[in-house]
Amino acid sequence: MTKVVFYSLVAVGLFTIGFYTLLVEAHLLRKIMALNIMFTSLFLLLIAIAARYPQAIDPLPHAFVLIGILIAVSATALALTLARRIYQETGQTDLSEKQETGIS
Amino acid sequence: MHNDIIITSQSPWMALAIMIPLLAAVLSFIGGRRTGPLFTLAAMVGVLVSVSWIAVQVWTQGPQSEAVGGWAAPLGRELYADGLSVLMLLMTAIVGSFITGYALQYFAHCEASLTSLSFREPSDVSKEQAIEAVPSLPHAVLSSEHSIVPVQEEKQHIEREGIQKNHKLVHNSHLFWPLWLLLWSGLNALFLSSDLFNLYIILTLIILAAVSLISLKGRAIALQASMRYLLVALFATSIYLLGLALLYGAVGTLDIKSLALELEANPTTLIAIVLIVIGLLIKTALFPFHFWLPATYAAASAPVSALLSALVLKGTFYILLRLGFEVFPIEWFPTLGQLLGLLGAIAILWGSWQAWQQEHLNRLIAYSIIAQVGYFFLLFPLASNMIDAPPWGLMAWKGGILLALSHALAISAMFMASGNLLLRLGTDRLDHLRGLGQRYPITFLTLAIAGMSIIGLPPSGGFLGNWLLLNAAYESGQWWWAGIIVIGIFLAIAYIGKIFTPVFDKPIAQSVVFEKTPVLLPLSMTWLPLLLAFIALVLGLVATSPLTLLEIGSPFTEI
Repeated sequence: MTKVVFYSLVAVGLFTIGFYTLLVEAHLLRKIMALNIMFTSLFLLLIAIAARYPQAIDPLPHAFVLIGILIAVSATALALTLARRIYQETGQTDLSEKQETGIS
Repeated sequence: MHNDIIITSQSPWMALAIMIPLLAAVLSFIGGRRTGPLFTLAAMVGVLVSVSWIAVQVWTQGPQSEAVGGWAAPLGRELYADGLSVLMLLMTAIVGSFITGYALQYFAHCEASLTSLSFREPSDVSKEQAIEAVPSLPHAVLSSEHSIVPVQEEKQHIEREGIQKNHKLVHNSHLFWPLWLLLWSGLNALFLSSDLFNLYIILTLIILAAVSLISLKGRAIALQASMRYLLVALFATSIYLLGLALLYGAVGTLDIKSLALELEANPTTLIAIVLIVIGLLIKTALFPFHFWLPATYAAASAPVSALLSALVLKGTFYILLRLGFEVFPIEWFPTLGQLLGLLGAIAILWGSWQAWQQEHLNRLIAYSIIAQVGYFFLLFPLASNMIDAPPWGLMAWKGGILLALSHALAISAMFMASGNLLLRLGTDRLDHLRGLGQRYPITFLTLAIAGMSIIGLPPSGGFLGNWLLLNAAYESGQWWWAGIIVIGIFLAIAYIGKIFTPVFDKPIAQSVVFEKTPVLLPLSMTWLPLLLAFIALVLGLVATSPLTLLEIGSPFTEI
């Protein structure tokens, strides 16, 4: 059980780091990386939970992780595309609004 | 869901309601620029048929479940439909069909006015130069009297810019169809799903489709809005997934039916549930988590704002209803209900106040959504006392859901009407609407009728919903919620009224000669929103059958 607790705590720590970075950093690339760290921490947590019984591994969380990876990859791809388009349109790498206010 | 006999359906209609739009999305994406509307209309017919079939089945036989691919609950993913999910599916199908029709004309119109603009370009330039040469004395006089009305050149500039700003939207418009079909498929799946991890996948699918829909406009402000929405939404779903992981670790299942039986109240499940609820609240934009909503909805194009506000918001609200009343341990529920109700009350006051202060029509509507979402959450404290099952529980449950349904109809009508004005005028500043009531009678009538439902005037669905909530508050002795509802109604009168204050003002000579594109709006673009607003208005009169439908499989019926 200690192993499971250890990995779960590591996962929660990673999640917190990701959350903190997501809030603090303005650069879009760093925000996207922060989200990915959060996703990865969740996968770690699920894998740890899968091993919570000493006699056998629970396969269902592994399936969750596989699907989670798919989701993380596609969400990251969309986020990166958007970040690139924002850079092309505004020359900015963050979300601060410097132009185009008023008429929407 | 608890003690009802659930009939296992053999026919694949639930799976079809999800698969038809999904398949059409793929086909229209492959099919190229012109096939989108065709596949969307075909999928629309398919979804309407399958959803009505599910509705008839649930109406006649009670709650249904369907094992996808023959795999039953513990291992496979079951689909489940009861009265609540059928109503949500019907709402999605009806509002979705209207928005589909509107979007068809919307994009065609954007394209047509863009073409006309490029023809008009040379003459416009010369006219502008001519105006510049002559000192604009009358304009100066007028503008000193009404300093908020822009002078003629400025208007032309605004209007031309408004059309040119749409050129990327026109360029991207063929992508609207596959994305909307994906969104539709996701929404249907959400309302039919009975597994929390499935719901996680579906939520992400909905988010990805919604983000891409917002970004279709292609301009910096829309791209930034969609990026912000993506970040917030992914953060929300990862908190939700964290809660799921803890819940799975504690209970060993994520199937709603099994969870309802096996979930025990202990610290781990408490943390898990708090995380899940926070994740869903961020997506539903309840008060402290509403920060992302106004900018996002005001930046998207009209059909997209209508879709997001009418349907996507209700999706997470639906999950909260399911979890709140069917899964969460009953001993926590009064506290949780009061907390959600408190947030809802603050949302009503804060959202209405913010809406009243807005200068732009789109932003006013967006803030009004925050207030309306607050109303839905008053359902939780009023229906929360489920241990001795008072009669007002069911009443509040019906009232809150009816409010959500009529809000979906009314708010999408409002966004479409506001989109019409934006297309014609190039601006949605409220003070630019001065005296335009006679020019756009149908559009303003739409806004007025939809506004009646938002405020909650009889006979609208909003009125009946508010009435049921008020009754429940009165009978349960929680009079403070009734006070909040009444204050909210008055605030809503104030901010909806604010739209119309300038409209029926004396028209100024300047604004009558407002120059627009030679391409007039197609009739259906003004009539479709009006019809939708009208349905919201008469929903209060015909609400008996939806309300009876809500009792099928509701958490209150077995008692």
